[in-house]
Amino acid sequence: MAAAGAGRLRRAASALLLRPPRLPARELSAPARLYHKKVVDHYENPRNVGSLDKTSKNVGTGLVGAPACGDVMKLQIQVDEKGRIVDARFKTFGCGSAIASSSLATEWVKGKTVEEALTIKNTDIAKELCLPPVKLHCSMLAEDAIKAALADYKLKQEPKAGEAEKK
Amino acid sequence: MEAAGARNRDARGRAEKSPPESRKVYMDYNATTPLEPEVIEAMTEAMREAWGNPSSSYPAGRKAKEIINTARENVAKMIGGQPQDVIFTSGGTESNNLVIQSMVKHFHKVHAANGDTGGHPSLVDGALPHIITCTVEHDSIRLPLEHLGEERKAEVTFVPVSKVNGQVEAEDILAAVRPATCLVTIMLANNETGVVMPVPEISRRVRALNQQRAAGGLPEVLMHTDAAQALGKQHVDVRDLGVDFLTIVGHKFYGPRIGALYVRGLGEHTPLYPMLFGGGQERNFRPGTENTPMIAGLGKAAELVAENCDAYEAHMRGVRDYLEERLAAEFGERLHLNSQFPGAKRLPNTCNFSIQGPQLQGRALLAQCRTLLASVGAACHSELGDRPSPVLLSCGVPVDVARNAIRLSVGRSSTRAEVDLIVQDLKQAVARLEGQA
Repeated sequence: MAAAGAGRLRRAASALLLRPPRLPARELSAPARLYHKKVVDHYENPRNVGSLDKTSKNVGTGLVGAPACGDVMKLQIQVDEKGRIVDARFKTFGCGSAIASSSLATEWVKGKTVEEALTIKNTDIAKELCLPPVKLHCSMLAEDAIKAALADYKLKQEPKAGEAEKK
Repeated sequence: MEAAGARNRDARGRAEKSPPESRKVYMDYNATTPLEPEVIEAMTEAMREAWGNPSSSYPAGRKAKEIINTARENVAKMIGGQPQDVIFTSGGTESNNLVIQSMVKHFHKVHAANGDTGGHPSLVDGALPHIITCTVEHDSIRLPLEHLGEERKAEVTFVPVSKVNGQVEAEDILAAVRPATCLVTIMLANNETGVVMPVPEISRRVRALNQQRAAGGLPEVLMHTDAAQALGKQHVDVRDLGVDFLTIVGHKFYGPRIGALYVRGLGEHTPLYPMLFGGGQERNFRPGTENTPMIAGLGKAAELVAENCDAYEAHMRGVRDYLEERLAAEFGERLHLNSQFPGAKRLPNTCNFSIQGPQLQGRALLAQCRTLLASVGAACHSELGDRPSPVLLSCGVPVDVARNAIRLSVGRSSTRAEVDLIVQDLKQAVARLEGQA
């Protein structure tokens, strides 16, 4: 699913590299609209792409977004008996910033307790990846994905587990 | 508005080479909404297959009649009412005018100068019917009432809304009731601020009052609410609201430009006097050969609301809350959220705000925006020029803040991506206006 935007991004990235810079004078003052290298890095070297066993009691699954809106993120966490996140995986359908945001999210939740992971804010993700203003919503979705995964995990720990899993 | 989603993907596919200025983001859903595809489908099908006169007895006519009946059931279901209590009208303006005219006629009929129908001299002999409303109503309520007042056909009290929470207080409504009061009409949600009025509470208290009034031979006070802005954005149930009349407006919930009027126990408990006289359609309450395609569309739009209202509400609230967060992050101290009143419930999609600064009048700022499509208030008030909205002023917003107000209202297909785009747009527009000092 991370590959969904792959072809387009790769072609676009290479198109930007091949085209000689010939910006008209008035546009020199405007910031160039390129993907930040941190975003490209997460894109070309994605961390933690994949799935965990969603039926396992120790796995929390967060599925957020909607295909109609263009962004879907699935983020899964595996928690040990002491409440610490020992593994995380993601699959994202969306733009480069969305992929990078969710990839970073999986990196950050690893090693944190369930409570600590709740403190991860979209603004931190956006700052770390230097997301441009028009892509801030991607970091918001990643924060939602973390919270959804944590909520799903918590629900499974309750005695009456087996409820329909939350989206 | 589906195009918005498609363009989103398209723009991403070309990796931001298409300039954001070329795309428009509509955030004026309180002004009007586009038609849902299923609504358009229902309408075109009716146009093609059911063009017969619904009053005719041959199959083509009967088919149209069936469509109308189904639409009526769907509209009734959306509001928790009975199909026989719903009549179709040309829109909210007609429905609102109909209620007001009807109550005035009813008052005169029952309490004519020579006593009520019971033969006893009426306690309200010679008095004009009295109607209570509030100061932030839509023009289609305010102007008919003002007109009646000028023509000395009725007396009207416009109860001011609270400057603390933007709502009209039940206490103030009850305090304004007189012996000759026959109608209280309060909008369910305000189109400019999004504030939801405490209609259930007002209805409850009016109903309690009616019991005492009946004992004293005074006319019953009936409740009307204009639900134009609330339908499709939050649950609307006439049983919870406790109203006798409710106005339904299609083009605010992704339906066509017609409306309907709910009348509790139409023809039995609650009287309705028609404005139009003619061929007997709608049981003579609103004659005129039925607009089958529009009615089909209204029914389908209502069906979608009945099925999905919770999802629509949750989505709109999520996007609107994200919008307010981004605005606050971007403009900080300069931002004034005019639609956030402490303790008041509000629509999930509306955000009325001002960015403080002498050059940032609402209309001027919107004119500078290259992506955002929005308004400073009610669409029908565009002739106000630079004068601040009277609704905002009534809610206690200071004049210089009200002058800079912009109303954003998100819809079912609004996305956080669009929010990011328009916040950027606003930021650049502010910079341009202030750079030109």
